[in-house]
Amino acid sequence: MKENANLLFLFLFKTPIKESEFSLAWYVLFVFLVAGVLLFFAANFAGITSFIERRIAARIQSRVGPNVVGPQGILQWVADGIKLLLKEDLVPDRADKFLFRAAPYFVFSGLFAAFVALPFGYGIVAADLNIGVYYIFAITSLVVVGIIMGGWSSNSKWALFGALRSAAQIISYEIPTALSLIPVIMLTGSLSTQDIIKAQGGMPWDWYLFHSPFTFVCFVIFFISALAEGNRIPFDLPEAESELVSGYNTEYSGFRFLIFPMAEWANLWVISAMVTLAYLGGWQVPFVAIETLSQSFLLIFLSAGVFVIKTSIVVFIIIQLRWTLPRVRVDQMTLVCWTYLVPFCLAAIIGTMIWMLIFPWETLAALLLRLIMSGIGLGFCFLYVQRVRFNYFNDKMAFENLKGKSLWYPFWRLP
Amino acid sequence: MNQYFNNICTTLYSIAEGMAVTASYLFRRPCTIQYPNKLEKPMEDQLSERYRGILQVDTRVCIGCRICEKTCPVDCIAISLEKDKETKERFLTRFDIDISKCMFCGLCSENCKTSAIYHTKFFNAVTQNVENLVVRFVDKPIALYKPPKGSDLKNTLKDLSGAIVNQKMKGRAL
Amino acid sequence: MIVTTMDEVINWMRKSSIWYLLFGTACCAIELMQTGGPRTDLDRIGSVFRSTPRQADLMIVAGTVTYKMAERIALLYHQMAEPKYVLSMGSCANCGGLFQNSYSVLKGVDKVIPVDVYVPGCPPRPEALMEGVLKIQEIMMKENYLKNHGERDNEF
Repeated sequence: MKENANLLFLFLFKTPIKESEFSLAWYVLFVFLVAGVLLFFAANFAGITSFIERRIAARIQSRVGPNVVGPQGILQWVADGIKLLLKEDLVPDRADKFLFRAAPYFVFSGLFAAFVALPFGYGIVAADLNIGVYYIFAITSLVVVGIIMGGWSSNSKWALFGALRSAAQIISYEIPTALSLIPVIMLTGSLSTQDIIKAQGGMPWDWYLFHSPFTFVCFVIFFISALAEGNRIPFDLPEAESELVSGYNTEYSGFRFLIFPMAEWANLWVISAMVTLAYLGGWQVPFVAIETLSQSFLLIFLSAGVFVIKTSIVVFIIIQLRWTLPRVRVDQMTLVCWTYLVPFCLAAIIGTMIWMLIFPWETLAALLLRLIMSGIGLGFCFLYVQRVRFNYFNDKMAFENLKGKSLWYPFWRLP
Repeated sequence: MNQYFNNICTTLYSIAEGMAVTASYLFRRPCTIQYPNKLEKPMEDQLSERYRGILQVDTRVCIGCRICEKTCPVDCIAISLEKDKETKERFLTRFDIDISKCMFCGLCSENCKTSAIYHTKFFNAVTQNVENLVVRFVDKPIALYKPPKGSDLKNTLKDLSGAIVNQKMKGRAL
Repeated sequence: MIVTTMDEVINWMRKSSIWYLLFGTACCAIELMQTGGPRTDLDRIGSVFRSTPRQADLMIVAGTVTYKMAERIALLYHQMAEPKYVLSMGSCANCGGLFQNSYSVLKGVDKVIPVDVYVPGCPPRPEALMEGVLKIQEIMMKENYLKNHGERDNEF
């Protein structure tokens, strides 16, 4: 952080920063600059993802999605945001007014503070904390405080139900989330997000995902429990629209409501970035060693691009999962957590320990096993594509006979 | 124990199967009719042939039998007739249809001898004032039509686009 | 001049995301669901449903309004945040329609809440409802948002 500030000062003013009276002011300014950039990124990501999610959901339901507002509806999220800003800010009559007004700030700060420790590329991280992963877990659990405050203070039974469900869900799913990252931390020997990525490699067989069957299980568990932490379907019990009216944000309107979905979609990035950095090799560029990566700015930007692409793929999978699965019941949610995820996590931790003893990372046998694992992973992807093809061709003939039009209309062709 | 592992396998398999189904929908043609700005063909052509849209009266062929008024289950048609004492000629002085009340059952148009009252394919009579939805088809008294003997008027030419209703509905910019 | 442009931009933003209240009283609600469905995609013009009245802009009264329900509708209307609009959908909501002679049915929802747009039909086609939402957009574009601070003179 400090080095980057020094570098930027050198780049801007062509003089090295000295221990002058301006240095402190410059550092403070730099901190605000970085915070502003992160906030800008998070807010824009949340907005654009909300638009893209609506388009993808529409195509899955064979609709078109928002395509009137601006060219192909690209300004939809701006319109939604500004409209919500302009709406009346209601506070219910018998609500606890102070807590009601304060709750969105907790949700907001809890999620956006997690962006501090998330890496974006080689050396592109706001603060490379040596307890990065731990920090992210700790700070995102502030969200649940905001949700409970909002649900309790709005003096509505639906909001209270949503808040209590959210409390039960998020707090119980913290355990598998944290446990399933322990194999990664053991393999790396560090909690820093950058170190975890540096210990992996660019190619799939260097990722922790394919290190052993146990880390693969851990990946699945981490993915599921991160979904539950982010209140995404199939675990969106706190704001179940068909059961509770809108869950914990039932009584919120206008700007204060805007915070909740914004934080939810920003959380999508946090989840996906965590999955990417822990299991999918982070910003590691294939065929480029870390030593050469640090040499040129171009390669650093390339690494950032790789990270963004990997994260976007995970975001897409989460979105598709949302529009595929129905919501689980409350008892199923706790059942999955305590009888399936946690025992498997504990078993996987012990399994990874033994695996690390028998096959250390550098040995040829370990490399072979990793290659086999990634081959199996590739096989699963191939099977999945085959199933997609099968489902498509299954309905092709019937549609074309009925409508006389070609069924082929890929998602990149915009109607 | 067997059940336990079986549950995991079926769950993961069914999720993957569901994902494959939704992924295949990303490559299929959406079935949306992009009303109103990106229509492939006009809306009137897409409606079925016997679509019951908003009622319209061709006052030129109305014989003043008042069957439509009597048969209407919700009393949304109001007709007044007047008789000229000297010439014994009858006039249609009022023919109002309350579209806001009409339930589009089609009984009136079925029973009309000359098909003076019929359903158009015009459906979007959106208005800001509910009084605009009372359509008055008669401005000044119209002499009733006397059909020639033995003629079948069921197959007269109908204006299905609803031009008369459009013209009669006040306060509606088109 | 600047105020006019600002007004236009704000109105454009407002009209581009009309969120309607997920709420139906009778059979017109089925057609309302169909309008949100794939064939006539109301999401295309940025309209999605919100199940809570606090976040909704537009109330689509879909179906017969009984006297018992009328109280609830008025309550829901007053719970909505300003600026709010009401669309009366179908004959029953317009004037009581088919059930006009019934002892328990309200003769038009405009007896309890101010209605902006009436859509005739029994039930209206999805396209007709879409036309109604477009009419609401037209009303929005004619308003002076900055001058009135979002308040509309439609209090009943």
